[in-house]
Amino acid sequence: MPISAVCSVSLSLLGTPVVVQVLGSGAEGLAAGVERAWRRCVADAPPGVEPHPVTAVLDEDPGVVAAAQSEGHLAGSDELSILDWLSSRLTLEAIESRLGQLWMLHASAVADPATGSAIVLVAPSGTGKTTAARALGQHFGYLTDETAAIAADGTVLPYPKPLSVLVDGHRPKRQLSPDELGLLPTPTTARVAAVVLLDRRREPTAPEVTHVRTIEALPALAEQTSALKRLPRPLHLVAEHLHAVGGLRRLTYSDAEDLPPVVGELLSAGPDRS
Amino acid sequence: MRYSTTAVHDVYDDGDECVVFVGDDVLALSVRATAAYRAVSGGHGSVEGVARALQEALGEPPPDVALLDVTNETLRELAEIGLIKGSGRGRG
Repeated sequence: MPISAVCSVSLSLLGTPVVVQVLGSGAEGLAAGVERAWRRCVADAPPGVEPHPVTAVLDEDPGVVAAAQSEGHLAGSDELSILDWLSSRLTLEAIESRLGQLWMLHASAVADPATGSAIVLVAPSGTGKTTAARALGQHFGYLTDETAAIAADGTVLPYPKPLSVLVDGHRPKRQLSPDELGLLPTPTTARVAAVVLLDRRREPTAPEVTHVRTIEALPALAEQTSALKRLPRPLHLVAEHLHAVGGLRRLTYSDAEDLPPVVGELLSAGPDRS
Repeated sequence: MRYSTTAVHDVYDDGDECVVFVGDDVLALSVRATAAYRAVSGGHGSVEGVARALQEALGEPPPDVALLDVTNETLRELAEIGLIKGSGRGRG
């Protein structure tokens, strides 16, 4: 059965042009959902550059869905589920397109809107990146809640994807744009000023910042780096970034609402080279 | 037995310690493991040669600890994580 109704949304993900081709009977609604959630990444591909295609199919006919899935497309009959899957798929697309070029960390990141000084908050999946980004994005420019991409010169490439949020405890997670959540605008230029390992505790814990020796920082950050071995002299590269910002810090806390003043102090203090 | 180093992605030296990226693992080595690894990297691949390097780097072991035992244990640990490999027999 042919799939009708085609819409597309053009995105720029970590500088890589990607076009989401949306098919099926629900294409129009899904395309609108993609455009709303990914609004801060919407951009046409530069002239002469072929965007990476990603196809998503929303259709109420199970036969159409099965056929699309057999071709390797994201397909289903539930818009929220497709948007959820699409978020992971697009993040992978973005990461894979820049492997070996950028230091990409599982991290949220925000920046001082006035100076562009950015803090990268590293944490494994499910341990507080999105919650931290929501709390910090009310006070600082939102860069990402998932992948912090750092260039050799310390520039942090924005990846202002939608935030994946459980609503009333129900899955799939909703993909809410940073605008819907009232997060501050994404700075056009940002430069890494601090790298922090988030250490969220269950028991009430006042925020505390401690230094992490480079010898301990490298294994800890390696676990949260995408395809580290694709980078040239990877340990040296990471160590150089850390030295430029005064080393890795560990931020122990329990409540994300406590983070903004701590992050504000870290950004205003600049790199601690003590 | 002589030891030689294997291919690694990177080694980051930090004073008397180092971090190695071997296979898919990034590992911080202790001062003792670092000294042994540096000895093997520097061409002192025999157990006796590594023992001398450990003695120079760390001093004499405690009275109840044999230097060669410590050396062998360290070399075994480095081999287990794939940083070095042993071959044949050697007198040092």
